[in-house]
Amino acid sequence: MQWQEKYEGLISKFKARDKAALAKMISLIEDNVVDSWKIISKLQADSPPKNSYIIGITGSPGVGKSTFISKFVELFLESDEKIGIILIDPSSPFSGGAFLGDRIRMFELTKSPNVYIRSLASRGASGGLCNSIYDIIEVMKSFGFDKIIIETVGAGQTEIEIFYACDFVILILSPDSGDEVQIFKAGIMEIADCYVVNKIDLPSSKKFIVQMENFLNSEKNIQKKLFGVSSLENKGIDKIKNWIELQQKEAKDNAVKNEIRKKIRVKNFFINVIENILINLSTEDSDIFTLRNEVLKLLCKEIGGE
Amino acid sequence: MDKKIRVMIAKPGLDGHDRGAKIIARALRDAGMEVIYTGIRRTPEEIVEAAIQEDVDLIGLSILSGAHNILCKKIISLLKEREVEMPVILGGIIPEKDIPELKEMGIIEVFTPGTSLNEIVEKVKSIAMARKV
Repeated sequence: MQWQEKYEGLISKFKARDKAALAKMISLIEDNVVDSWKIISKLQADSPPKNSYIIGITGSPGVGKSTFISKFVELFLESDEKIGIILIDPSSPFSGGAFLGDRIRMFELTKSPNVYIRSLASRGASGGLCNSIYDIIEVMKSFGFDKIIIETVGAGQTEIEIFYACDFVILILSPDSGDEVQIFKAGIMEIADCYVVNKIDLPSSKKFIVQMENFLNSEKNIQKKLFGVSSLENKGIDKIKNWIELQQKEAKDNAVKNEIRKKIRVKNFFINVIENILINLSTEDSDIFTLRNEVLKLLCKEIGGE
Repeated sequence: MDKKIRVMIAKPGLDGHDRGAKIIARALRDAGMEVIYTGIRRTPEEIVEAAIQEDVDLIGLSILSGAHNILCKKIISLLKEREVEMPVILGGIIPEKDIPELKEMGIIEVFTPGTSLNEIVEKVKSIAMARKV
């Protein structure tokens, strides 16, 4: 059967803004890259995707990313905006399975008609996201969300792919995130557009905020913002909302990031295909050169004629 | 290509004891599945809506409160209402005499205390795979 016939029903439900169809579409993208690109192109050809504003939320495990999102998104619902949320948690390097537990913190949002929430496993990706995230963003734009919010896995210092995937990155920090030396390190501390110190209900927060202020007063970071919030007590989050709305208004079309995203999509496509080839390949009797040629042959066969 | 099984482990109703649900979720994780855990005290409406948004291949309910007949009936009827075909299994403190009624309303499998993790993992796998194909 041709792919057009196979997915005809799904595509028409998707166009009617059926969340179940969106959910199926995302599974399809996660599991089958080859057909998903065709579907994405068809959706985009039929109607131009929304220019959704993509906000990334990152930070170490347990700093309160999910709890922050639950309170943050509530503020946008008052203005009737449509919000798509993607929550990523790590896949096991041993079993390939995952325990996806971000949704627990935002169950109140589940029944809101304007919100869609999807939990994803990282499936071997090392940048803090999953390899299919860029394609998933494309279908979410086609679904017509005003804002797309992406939460990374509990991120370490080099898990910075969120920078490329999103228009705006919020780094959540906890007051016990270490001393000043940690703040000056490269990587994740550099990629944020705004810093949020969560848990200001904790007594250690005052000292940490002073250290952060000193850091941001250096010339390079002068335009970046710092917010202290308590997600638990729902304090200070409205200020971030106002600031982000201002940023969205002033946002320019980001040609550089769009270029990078396109390249990463192609790269991830090949990585997925090659990984699938390697899983099913017996390596026992072949040396490394034979193996390379074998993979190349199968790669051409898999994606040939396109 | 790479088809992963996605399941949701959910706790409907008012009991707040979720050690069992977490152990099941972890066993399924270790068997290579992607497990979405809902946390405790969810309503049937929340569970069904979340399962649809997450496009899971199976819903596993954990109920220790004794309200299993009412909660399961509600969840099954909500799934029918939304025209979603999603297998539902149940685990917890379930009296033997209630099991026929639960199966009749559409619960595919009922696991009572003492069932081995292995048995649960294998059954979940085969039920979920049947939907996936």
